[in-house]
Amino acid sequence: MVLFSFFLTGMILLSLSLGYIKIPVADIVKILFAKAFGRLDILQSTSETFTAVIFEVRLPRILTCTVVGAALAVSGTLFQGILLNPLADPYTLGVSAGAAFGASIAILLNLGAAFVSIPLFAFAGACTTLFFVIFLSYSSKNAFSGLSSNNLILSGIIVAAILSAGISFLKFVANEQVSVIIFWLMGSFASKTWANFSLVLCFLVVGYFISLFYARDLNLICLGDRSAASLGVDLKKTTLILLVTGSMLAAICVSVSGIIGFIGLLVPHMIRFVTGPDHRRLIPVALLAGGILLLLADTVTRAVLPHEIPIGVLTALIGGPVFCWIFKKSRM
Amino acid sequence: MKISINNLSFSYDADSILRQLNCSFESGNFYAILGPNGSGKTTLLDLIAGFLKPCQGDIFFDKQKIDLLTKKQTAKKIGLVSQNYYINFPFTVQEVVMMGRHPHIPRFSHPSADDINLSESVMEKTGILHLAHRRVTELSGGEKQRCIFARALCQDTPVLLLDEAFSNMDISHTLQMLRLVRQKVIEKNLLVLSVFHDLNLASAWCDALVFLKKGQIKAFGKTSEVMTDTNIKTVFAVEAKVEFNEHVQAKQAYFNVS
Repeated sequence: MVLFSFFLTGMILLSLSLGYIKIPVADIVKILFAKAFGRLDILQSTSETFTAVIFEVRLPRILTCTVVGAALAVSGTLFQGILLNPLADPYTLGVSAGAAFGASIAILLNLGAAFVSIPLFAFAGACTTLFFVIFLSYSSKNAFSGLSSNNLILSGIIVAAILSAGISFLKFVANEQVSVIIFWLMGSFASKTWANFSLVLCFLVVGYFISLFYARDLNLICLGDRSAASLGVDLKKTTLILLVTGSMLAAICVSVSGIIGFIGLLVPHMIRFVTGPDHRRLIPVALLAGGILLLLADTVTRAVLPHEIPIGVLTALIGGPVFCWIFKKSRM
Repeated sequence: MKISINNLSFSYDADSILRQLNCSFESGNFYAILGPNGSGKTTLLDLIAGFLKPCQGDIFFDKQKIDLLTKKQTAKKIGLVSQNYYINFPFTVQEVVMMGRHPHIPRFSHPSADDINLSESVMEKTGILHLAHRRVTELSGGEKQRCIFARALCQDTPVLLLDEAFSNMDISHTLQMLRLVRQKVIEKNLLVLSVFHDLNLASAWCDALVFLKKGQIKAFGKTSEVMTDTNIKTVFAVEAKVEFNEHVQAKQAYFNVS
């Protein structure tokens, strides 16, 4: 864990220095140090452009990217545990489709001018979808079949299918705005602000502590419903709390940065090889690793590639083959 | 300690699974629940463990109604080895056994030395100590069952419910586990309810038998009294010859081949 934190800090510094304007790492450390301790006298030795680039452009983007990656990884870990399925990811319950549908409506109705409203609509869409999926799979009669993983996955797939048809229809109606919708859906961290960062950070902090609080119960849930219940886990309550936590994390991420696939699926898998399946260790390490990985991808698209390509595309392009490799290797 | 069941009925939607059961179980006894597939054996255990709510009637734990206990209190009283022992995540055997201590360890604290000693002694008794660091996903069916069984013993409860807990074990391990259960019943005054499919094994090891058919109790009593060919005929619709066997020191049933 110390190693991962160290790695993340290094990655942030490296990422800050790369880009259209190269900034030496030593200068970055100086600037950050100066800002943090109010020692403005040090700043005189470095260029003012550097300070502006770092604080106005790069730092918000980099930090937002890191927290989004971390939140997606935590969310993915929770979903894989609750649904007893290592193939689940934050979007299994249709949260992404709901967010995309909300965002598409906002774009279509041209509410984008108000700036805040696209993320807001996306978030509302995601929440509505989540509660509808829970409502669909919930049955009060039977303690077992209510909120069982099969019910949840099935409801999620059905709702997501309906919503994707809805999105296709909206794209069809949208005419010239269709490209805006498509770009939004592919996800990007370009021009993220400090406000975006602090919003996601708030969700992440709350979500992280809830997940840690229930980490041991989640371990038991992994053993199966009867075993978990016989060991004193309040199955319905815990599942519901963790489900809402995971979905809220996913929803805020999608609202801020569009649909970014594979982080939520891949990171918990990779980290499980390192830490084992115990969620008390898995969740913190997955959080850090998710941040590192998404930041790496974002830095590649921002600073290394000649043309910025959407981050959602990049993570799937890199993540897909890596996943295939891990999957094949673990089967040998 | 005593579990009393009063006028208990349960149904999924329209299908009634259990119909107006009345019986009671007392500490220091090893009970077998016998019956054909779909006769409500697992449902009865689920109701006693408090996972399912009865549609009618009550279950009492001494004087206390079972649904008034919190989940954690129930977990300290009742341990369960369920039929389904499939685990999808690569926990180690040691981790799974230690999960049995969950209701006894406060949140955020680590297992105490006592917890660790107990889990190790249980693993040794169930013969899985050499597997302690193996992943449960890599174990054979019988080994997995022993691991789950060890977890339930580690829970250290006065009541133990076994739902076909030995179905995948070889005969030597089955006997080893049964010996362990009987030793606990005698020494620690445990109450054990176990679903069996092997009538002869049940007859050899259990103090009393419960015969269930279509959600109703057809016979309930001391093994030597209710292990009869007529009871086997009514419950399973099978012709059997029941005789006292000197070697087993219990009644055994013999079935004809044709």
